[in-house]
Amino acid sequence: MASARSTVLRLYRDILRRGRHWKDGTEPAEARYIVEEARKLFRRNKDLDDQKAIHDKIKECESRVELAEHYGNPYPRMYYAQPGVIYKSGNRARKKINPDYMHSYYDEDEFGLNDAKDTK
Amino acid sequence: IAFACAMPRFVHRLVRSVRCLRVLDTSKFGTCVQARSFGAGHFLPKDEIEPRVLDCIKNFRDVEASKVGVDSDFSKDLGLDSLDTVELVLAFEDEFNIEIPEAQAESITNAKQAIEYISQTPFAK
Repeated sequence: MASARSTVLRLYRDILRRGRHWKDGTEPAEARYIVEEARKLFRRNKDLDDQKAIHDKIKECESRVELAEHYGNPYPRMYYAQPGVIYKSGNRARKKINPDYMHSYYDEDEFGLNDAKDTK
Repeated sequence: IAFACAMPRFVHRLVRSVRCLRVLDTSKFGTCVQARSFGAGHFLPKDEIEPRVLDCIKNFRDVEASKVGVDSDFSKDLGLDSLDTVELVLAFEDEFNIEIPEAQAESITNAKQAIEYISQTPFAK
């Protein structure tokens, strides 16, 4: 438990530092996004107890950081809806693509993506 | 050069800020910086650090300025959680233009320890 805590704090510090030096200050909006997103998501998940859930969140964090560094773009990737699927509220729902590293992002249901039921 | 001689402290800061210069041509600055050589750490005095650290804490969001003292613990007295403490230590780094490594950052739990650490950090501004 103690090592998970120190990992999380280390990641938090790492992200905030990256945000500070993001692209040497040429993109302040992106830097601000990084810091705010980190703050929001870390606080949202800070009361987790389950070891596996904590581990998943840590992996999620590391993935997002790596992707942001690699593509030079901190914002989440947009996905096309699968072709041929029409969104209808109720029975047939749009199959949403929710990669592992975006679970925390979509948790708050601000995009209404958690309404969709998997109709397999 | 005459202007620089009139303000040796300014010159020293100018010299320190140009860290990429490996070789410093001291002859250019003449007698201005004879007491200090490039590479010798310049430490800030504690009474200069203390008000800045306390200001940093007071301006931090969610902190009541009246509760802030040199010995007030971040989590017990000021009610900050560990994420807030990380942000606060980063704020110190910003203020003094230093980098605090992991191990030390985790050990800073009140203002006194922060002041202690910063006073031992060379090239803190």
